[in-house]
Amino acid sequence: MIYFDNAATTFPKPQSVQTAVLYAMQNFSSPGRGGYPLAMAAAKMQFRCRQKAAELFDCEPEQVVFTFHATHALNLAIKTLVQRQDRVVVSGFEHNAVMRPLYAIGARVTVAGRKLFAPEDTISCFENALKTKPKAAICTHVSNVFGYRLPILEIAALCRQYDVPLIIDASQAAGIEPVSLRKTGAAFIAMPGHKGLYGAQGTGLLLCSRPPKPLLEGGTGSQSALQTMPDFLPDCAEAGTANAVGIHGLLAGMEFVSAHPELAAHEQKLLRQLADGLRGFSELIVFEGKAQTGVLSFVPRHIDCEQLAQKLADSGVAVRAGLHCAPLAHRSAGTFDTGTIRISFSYFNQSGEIEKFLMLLSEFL
Amino acid sequence: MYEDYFTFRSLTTAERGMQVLQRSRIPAQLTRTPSALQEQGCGFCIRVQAPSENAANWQLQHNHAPYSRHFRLYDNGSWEEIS
Repeated sequence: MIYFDNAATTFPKPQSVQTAVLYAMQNFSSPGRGGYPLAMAAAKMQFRCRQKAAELFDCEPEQVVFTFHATHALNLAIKTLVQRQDRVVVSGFEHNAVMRPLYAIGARVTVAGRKLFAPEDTISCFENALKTKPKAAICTHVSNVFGYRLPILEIAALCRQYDVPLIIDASQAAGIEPVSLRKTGAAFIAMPGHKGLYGAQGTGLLLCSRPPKPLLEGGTGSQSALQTMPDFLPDCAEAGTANAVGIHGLLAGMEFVSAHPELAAHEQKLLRQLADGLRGFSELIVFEGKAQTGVLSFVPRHIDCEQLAQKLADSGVAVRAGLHCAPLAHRSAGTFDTGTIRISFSYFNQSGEIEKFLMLLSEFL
Repeated sequence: MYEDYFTFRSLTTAERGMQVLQRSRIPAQLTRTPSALQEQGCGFCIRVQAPSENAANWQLQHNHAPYSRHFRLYDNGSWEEIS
């Protein structure tokens, strides 16, 4: 099988991650609960994982909250900052993990910057929107549909200038692009563990510049005599038994990322090969630009995206068709009615897979 | 003889404290906080044997591992809070 759906979840996982997950099931109980060796070993491992995340994302271990996924992390962040009728600025490329919580809360949303691969326009639109002093700004670092790398440092600087708290959705950036809580001064940065960090599904991180409001209340292993959740990081946002198995896998995944600094360049090389190849098909509309990571979308002019994706699946190529849970991004790019076919790479993809994919595509178009 | 206990409000900070002490080669153990020292229920603390307590105190205070309180347990079982 050729797996080109790494923006959904990276596959396969590194051998070290698989080993770590199994090891955790055999050697760890609940971190932060008992004082016996199995629990203390789990606690030590959990701290190592926080430290590794802090090292990768330029923050303190206490600022790293473990979540179930990026959606969980985004919900924590959004529901801390935004209340009903609050005005919020978002980019034109947000995922439903951002838009649905905002809709559920009843926030008033301003969309800033809908042009693809146009960082200057994105910055200008954000500045205009931030001047009106919204309650918060939320911006994806990289579009999960188009791979558009948004100018996050510039947007973060504007948020600081206008004193608007910023939530960054780093779901497609973490592990590939530099992500820094300190440099951006963001209120929160959310990310999954199972995409560019190569961990298992069911893991995510929220980097916090301030304690978030709990989404869940329950046991934390700390201040347990109190009726209320602890008010300090990271305990305030980590009710319930930690996913020690997933966290150990995530640690191995982040170590894998650290050990492969060539990862982004590898994906970029594959992206350029793919874009060059797709350009030869007049039957395709290809979305490419300079500010693009290893994610690319295209639309076939004469065949339905889902049907083409199914043909590819039947031939052993895994791609993702449809709206990718980001209808706003598709509305911004004008692909809402058709959806797109998305190709997304990981460390494990090879040039030969693209050649084979292009050959298959020429048969189906 | 006595041993000192540094209590922490979060396990994460206690783990950070343990790393600080290990890097300084100060023998210490991360344990559950004894009931007598708990203010608001369960928690974790670092136990340090004399004569390393002053060095441990200094390292924790100067390496971003703030503890909540500092206690001393004497051989006779009595506790004293060290200010």
